[in-house]
Amino acid sequence: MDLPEISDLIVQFDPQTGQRLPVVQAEVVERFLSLGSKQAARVVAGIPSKNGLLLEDAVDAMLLRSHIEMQRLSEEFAHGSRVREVLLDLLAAFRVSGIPSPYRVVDLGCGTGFVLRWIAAHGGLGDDVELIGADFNTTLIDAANRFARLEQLKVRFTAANAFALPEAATILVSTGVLHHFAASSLAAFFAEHGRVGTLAFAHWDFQPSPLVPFGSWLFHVSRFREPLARHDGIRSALRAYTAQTLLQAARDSQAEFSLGVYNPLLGQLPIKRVFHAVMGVRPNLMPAFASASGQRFSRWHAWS
Amino acid sequence: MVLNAVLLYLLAVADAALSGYRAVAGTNPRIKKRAFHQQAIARALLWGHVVIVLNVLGIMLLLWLFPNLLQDLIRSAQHCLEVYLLYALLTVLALLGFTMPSRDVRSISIVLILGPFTLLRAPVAVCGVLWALWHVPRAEVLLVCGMAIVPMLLLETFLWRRYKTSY
Repeated sequence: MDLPEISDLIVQFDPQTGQRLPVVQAEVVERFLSLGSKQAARVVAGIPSKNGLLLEDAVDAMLLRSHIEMQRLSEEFAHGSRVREVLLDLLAAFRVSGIPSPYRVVDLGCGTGFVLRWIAAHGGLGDDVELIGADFNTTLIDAANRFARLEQLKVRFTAANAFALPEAATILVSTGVLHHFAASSLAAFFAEHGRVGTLAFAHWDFQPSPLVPFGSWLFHVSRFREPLARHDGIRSALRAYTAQTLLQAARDSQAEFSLGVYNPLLGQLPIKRVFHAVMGVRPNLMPAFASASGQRFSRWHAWS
Repeated sequence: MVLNAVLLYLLAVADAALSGYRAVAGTNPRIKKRAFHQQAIARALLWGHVVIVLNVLGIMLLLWLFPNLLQDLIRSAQHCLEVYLLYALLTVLALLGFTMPSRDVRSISIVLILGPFTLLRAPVAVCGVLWALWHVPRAEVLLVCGMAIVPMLLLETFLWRRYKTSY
């Protein structure tokens, strides 16, 4: 069975109400032990608890420390710059095509909101663009809003389902989120994009390759101090889906998008990048997107 | 002798600066934090110089106790440098990659070179000492080397614990 990440199990929400649910420490420890992960079991056993239940404050503090530490990965892989580059091309395509503004860019599962905060700090998308981060975890969202205020960034974060915002996203993006979904729920995830009227999406995640196990271990062990960040970071890379799996799920969802993988290879070399993006653009906007991308459009690997 | 001493000093200073950066890496969620990193490096340089001064005082004390130690220290410094300079050269090349305009080259430099080199730092420091002892097997040489590398290797953890911020 697939080994979950620690953060998948120490925080539980009621899927209907979004309410935080109590988590029994012994059950999580036992689950990891039964899956053969003593390391994860040790981390969970070390979290303060009361009456056998994990203390929410302690869990949240650990999650926050880990997310701040994991921001380093986004910084070193220049996620902000990579996402902005695609957004600029998509927004240019929307403007040329006469799509009315404002354009809402929603970061799904944004955590502490690094990508949108980076984009807000570096600007350039235009005044007709709203940046909104959405995540279920209120602690991370509170932190994201606090960090944005610290630097007076024009971006907001909300503890909500990204598909259920009062105003639908024009563009949905995410970074390192797709591998959290079970394979069986991927098609439903992509179907939501079509339902809420999103015009384009781009979801970045690790790209599986033979080098990933060692590379991921090396990266996290040499940089991270938080045991949760180390464990979950390595697991994330190992759980990532292939582009084929993701695109098939998007196709199965019946949502009407032109699908492709963005920038999976290192230049013209047959070397896989650490991250790739699964993208979908409404078919009628593809010519404008191709035109706006210019030479960068060679990075788009269409899937049919 | 003077050149070797200067080279060891420069290596210690560079190592302290990088320790200062690593100590705070992944602890500040801000987007623009150049000043934060500069402050961390400046702090590390200060503490690094404290270690260097203490080492100089320690060496002077040992030279007073063992007047014939100087030649052996000069030889051992030469052998330490044979190991450390090679490591430093490769690290500088990786840092050059980090200054390249290409996002991909920067990422590759960080992931494939700087990361593994960080893990190798402690073993390389020990190898330098062992290489020196191989050529100059003397307890006082081990003592001087130990006085130098142990605090340097602990500097990053010390700085992280002392100055870490919670958000």
